[in-house]
Amino acid sequence: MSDVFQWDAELAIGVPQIDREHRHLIDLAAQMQAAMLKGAGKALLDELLDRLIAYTREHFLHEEDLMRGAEYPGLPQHVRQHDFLRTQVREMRMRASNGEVTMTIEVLQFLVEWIRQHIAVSDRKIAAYVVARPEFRVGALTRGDRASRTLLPR
Amino acid sequence: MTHMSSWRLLSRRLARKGAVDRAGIRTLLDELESLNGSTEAEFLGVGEKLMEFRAASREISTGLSTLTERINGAHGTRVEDALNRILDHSRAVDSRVARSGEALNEVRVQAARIRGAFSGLRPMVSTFRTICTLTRIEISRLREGTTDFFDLTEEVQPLTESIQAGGEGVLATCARLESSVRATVKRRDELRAKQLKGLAEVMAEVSEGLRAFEERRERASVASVRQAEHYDAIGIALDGVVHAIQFHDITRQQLEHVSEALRPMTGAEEMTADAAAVLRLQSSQTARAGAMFTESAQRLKSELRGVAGRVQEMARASQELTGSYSGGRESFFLQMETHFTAILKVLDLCTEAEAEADAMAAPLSEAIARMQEGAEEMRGIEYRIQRIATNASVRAAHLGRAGDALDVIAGAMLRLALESNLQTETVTEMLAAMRAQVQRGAVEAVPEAAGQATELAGEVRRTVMELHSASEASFGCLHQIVATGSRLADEIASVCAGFTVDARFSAVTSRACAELAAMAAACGGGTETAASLDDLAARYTMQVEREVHASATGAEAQEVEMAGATPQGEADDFGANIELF
Repeated sequence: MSDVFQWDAELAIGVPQIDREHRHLIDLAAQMQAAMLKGAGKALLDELLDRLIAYTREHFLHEEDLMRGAEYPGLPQHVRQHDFLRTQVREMRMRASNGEVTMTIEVLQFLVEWIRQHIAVSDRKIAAYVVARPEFRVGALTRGDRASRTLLPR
Repeated sequence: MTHMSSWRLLSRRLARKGAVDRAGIRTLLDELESLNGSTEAEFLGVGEKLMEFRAASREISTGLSTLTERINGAHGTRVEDALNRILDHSRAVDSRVARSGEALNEVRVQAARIRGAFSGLRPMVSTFRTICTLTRIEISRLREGTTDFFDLTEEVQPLTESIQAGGEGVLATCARLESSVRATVKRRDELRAKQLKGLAEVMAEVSEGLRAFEERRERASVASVRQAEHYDAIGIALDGVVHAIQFHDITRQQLEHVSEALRPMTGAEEMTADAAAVLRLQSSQTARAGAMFTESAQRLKSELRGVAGRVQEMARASQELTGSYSGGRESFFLQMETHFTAILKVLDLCTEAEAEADAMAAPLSEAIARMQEGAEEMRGIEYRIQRIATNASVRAAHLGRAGDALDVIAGAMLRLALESNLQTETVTEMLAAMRAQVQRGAVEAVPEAAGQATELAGEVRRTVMELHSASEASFGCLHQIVATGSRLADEIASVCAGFTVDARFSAVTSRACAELAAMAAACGGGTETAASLDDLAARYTMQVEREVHASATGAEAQEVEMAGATPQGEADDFGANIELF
């Protein structure tokens, strides 16, 4: 049977660090899916949510820096989406901390929608905009302009 | 007329004219061979993909069967049993809560009775004090003649104080007990309301879970039937693809045969009448091969698209089986998860409420114990009074008439002590009964019953967790099925899009056909002859064709009867040649 969560070239937005981070999210979802197939998703829930919290903190910051640097016109709407996702993850973390462990299906469904809607749709719009601007081509981004400094590995 | 006769008649009509275009024929041969090679490679690629598609569709089918089995089979029965067990447990807890409420009401009644029993205690204490004072006065009067009353005086004095303190103490303890009972009953009522609400929620969640489960079971049955249909349809569609590939094999052989027929001409110097007829005939055969290939390629693509559609349908069947897959809250698995979470939450609330109820029993039991101590103290005082009264009576008897007054006082003291003792014994019995009821009221706080309740709650929790694990596994499986279906459909679409050999085939065969026809036309013979050769080509089989070519290239010709050859108008989709393959 095919792997549900696997990196697809169509998801690439063309900024190496952002793509790496997106791959990481897909890996997290794949790990959860694999655990759930064995009926062991609950054991992974706390760790997954902790990693998602850290992920939203780092990754959204990088994306928002990129959008600011590129003067992306959809920045406010995109940031609102980030806020929504961040809030969702925090709420889930809080519920799990309060002992609610039977929420793995909801979490996986949330990740599916995140990948399907946010990465595959909204993030691709940023990519399309950034790539269309010569001064913000991916090559330039990796050579140390304002946006790329935050995108390079720390 | 036989094939060979027709052939000879037609070939005679073609005039012998000029040299053979050997270079042109060689080029055509190279192109046809190359075309055959590339179509072969492309069809092999499609064949490999077909094997993958078959395997993937089988995986989807197996996955769906597993899901259906989970719902309809032993696992499904277990889920239903477990949910029903949770309902039974909830009802048992409900009944226990009701019993504990009744028991606490009894405690309240007992507390009121105890208060009633002690209602006469204050005047009784007052009377005792008066009697004690009278006793002391009388003893003092009688002591003027003797000192024998010293001991009795010593006993009466502290007894007065004890009666006062004991009476006050018992009344205060009684008041505290009643207050404690009232507070406990009030808190218990609140907890009961909370528990009952919680239990009602558990029951509603479980009932809803059972209803959803039944609904899913029905959907599973429908989906199973659909799944079988889809799988059959996929099998048929794949057979269609194989059929289309068989067509390719026929056209490949046709082209090979055209090459075989043309090859001897690359060594010929002059164009003979037979050679010109062969060119015309091969032009016609090439055109037919091109048309057949186009048809088979279209059929192949159409069948592949059919397979892709069916595969998607199969994946969709799993969505129907479980509700929406779009992430909406109507998804069956999300609904079930919500039910499980709600059941666990309410179960926790009930467990907390029961623990609180157990904890409430402790201060109440303590108050009862203090009350029992107070009653015990009263009993001791009463025994002392009885003893003093008896002693006073004896002394009065010894004094004769002088002791009459003391005897009267001693009698009153004894009666009062007996009355008080009767009351104390009644209260002691009431307290014992109350203690037992408090134990029942604290949700049967007998260790065994409490242990059973905890064990049952633990079992329900474990069951819910197991059901959730099974549910998440099914959800994961469903995810895979849908992903596999969608990926397979994409791959099939990609195979269709990448299948370009039909265009090349059409281009090469059209050009070859035109060039061969041009070469044949250059030999003369007119359009009537060309039409007759085309008609002959349409009607004769490959076997006959081989024989005609053998004849044309100098080998011994054989007469082959036309009998049995199917006229073109009646030919099926495979053409007349298919009978030989």
